[in-house]
Amino acid sequence: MFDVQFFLSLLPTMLRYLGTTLWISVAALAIALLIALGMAMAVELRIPVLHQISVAWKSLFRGTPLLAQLFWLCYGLPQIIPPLKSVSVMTLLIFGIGFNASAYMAESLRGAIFSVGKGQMEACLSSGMTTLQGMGRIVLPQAVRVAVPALANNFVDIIKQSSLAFTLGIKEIMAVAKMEGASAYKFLEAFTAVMLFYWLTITVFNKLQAILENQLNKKV
Amino acid sequence: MRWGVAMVSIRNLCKSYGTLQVVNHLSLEIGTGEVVTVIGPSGTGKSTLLRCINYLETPSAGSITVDDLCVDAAGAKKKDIHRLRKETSMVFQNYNLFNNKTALENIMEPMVVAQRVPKAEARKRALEILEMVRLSDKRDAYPSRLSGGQQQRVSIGRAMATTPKIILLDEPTSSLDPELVGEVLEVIGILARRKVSMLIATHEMEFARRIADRVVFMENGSIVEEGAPEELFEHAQNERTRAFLGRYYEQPDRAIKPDNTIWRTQWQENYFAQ
Ligand SMILES: Nc1ncnc2c1ncn2[C@@H]1O[C@H](COP(=O)(O)OP(=O)(O)OP(=O)(O)O)[C@@H](O)[C@H]1O
Ligand SMILES: [Mg+2]
Repeated sequence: MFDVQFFLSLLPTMLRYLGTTLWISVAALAIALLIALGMAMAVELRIPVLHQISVAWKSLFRGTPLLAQLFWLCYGLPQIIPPLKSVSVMTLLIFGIGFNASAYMAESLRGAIFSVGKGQMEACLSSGMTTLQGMGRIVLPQAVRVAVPALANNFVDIIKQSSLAFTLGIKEIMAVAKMEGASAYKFLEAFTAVMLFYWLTITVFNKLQAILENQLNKKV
Repeated sequence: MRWGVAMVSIRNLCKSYGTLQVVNHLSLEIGTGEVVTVIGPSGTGKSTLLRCINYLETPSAGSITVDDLCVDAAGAKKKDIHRLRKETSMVFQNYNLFNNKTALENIMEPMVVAQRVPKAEARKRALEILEMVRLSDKRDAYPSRLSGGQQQRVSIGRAMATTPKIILLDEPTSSLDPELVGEVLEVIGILARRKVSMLIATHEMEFARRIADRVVFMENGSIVEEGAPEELFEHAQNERTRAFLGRYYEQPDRAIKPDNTIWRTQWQENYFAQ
């Protein structure tokens, strides 16, 4: 039935490719956070043009499936922007997942900024600070604290979404499982291993998140 | 530290929201070290007036002059607005303390960030101010650990920290439980004695009268009458002023006939006796 021997033999290989999964996730997270922060600022400060672009960006990436976005980015876009052809699929994938997540993270941040309220920003302005100083020193630090749970959820989504990489021919744990499973015709063992790895990774991450939240809540 | 060395003058200030004219061609001068209280019915534009002076609201027309700085609503430059905000400071009804900063840091923040005062010096001044508002023991407490009265005293300290030419206080005690009102009024009293120019919107009639050098009665966005406290409270010329004050005298819990000040507490006896 369940070939324990085979299952165990898969683990070391998959552990190696878990690195790829994590790299995709963390890189996409960094891109997503940066863009999300920029968009939250653009919307919050009503910066002309950037504000409208942010709104359109969020609508586009939240209103279409990630898989379609990835194919569009990796196969569609290079046809009109030839230089993209020399960019690796891996890089395009990371940007794709990052762009998608940025739309969701911007929403998480926007809600958090709203929850801080405009009173403290008014206090900043009233005492001669600029909007940017008020944002950077008072509003955002509080908003980020409020947003941590939502942003963490967004990150868990990124980790899960990185499994779509195999559809683009990138070898990460999902792809490895599929190959190994197919060659021995033991899919149950292979995909059980995949489930286990994702589940462990996300559980560990959730623990880290709890510790982070604890630390942040000390300073209120 | 020198406070309140400015002359503030507001000319023909107007503010409207759509068709609603909230402040209507209002002119007002506040002298050096003068304390002016603004009283008037709810929704009359007191908060809007104060917020316009701080440019938290953009006036529709008129000008605000603080010392040599004149900001005219027609063609106000960003740079001038920023300077105006540095020279005026607001104390809010809901305190609006920075929740991610301690009491001490709240007072230091505008000095360090807006005025680029070196940290050590800002800290020294902030400690002095904390002492003045009697919160030295709470200097490392975050706002969530402070009572409303304590928060408001920190916020007054924060407003003073940047030595603005005038402090604008918008109903500084109306979010407070009655037993906490006294400690905040006391701190405002200390500023008044130090000759800090202040413009205070308030519904505390007894306080408005006692602390002010001049009282302004506002209704429907305009100043109806202004004068020395005794003059206005005892011998109001305008019928509307009398009607407004009459309403106040009649409310049993607001009874403020000079020798029937039911809410006056011990500190006030001390303070007003000085
Ligand atoms: N952002 C806004 N948009 C539309 N109307 C507003 C806005 N802010 C204030 N108003 C209106 O302006 C009028 C004056 O408000 P304001 O807060 O200045 O009165 P106030 O004298 O401070 O009243 P109170 O004593 O109740 O604090 C009110 O009718 C209010 O509804
Ligand atoms: Mg008001």
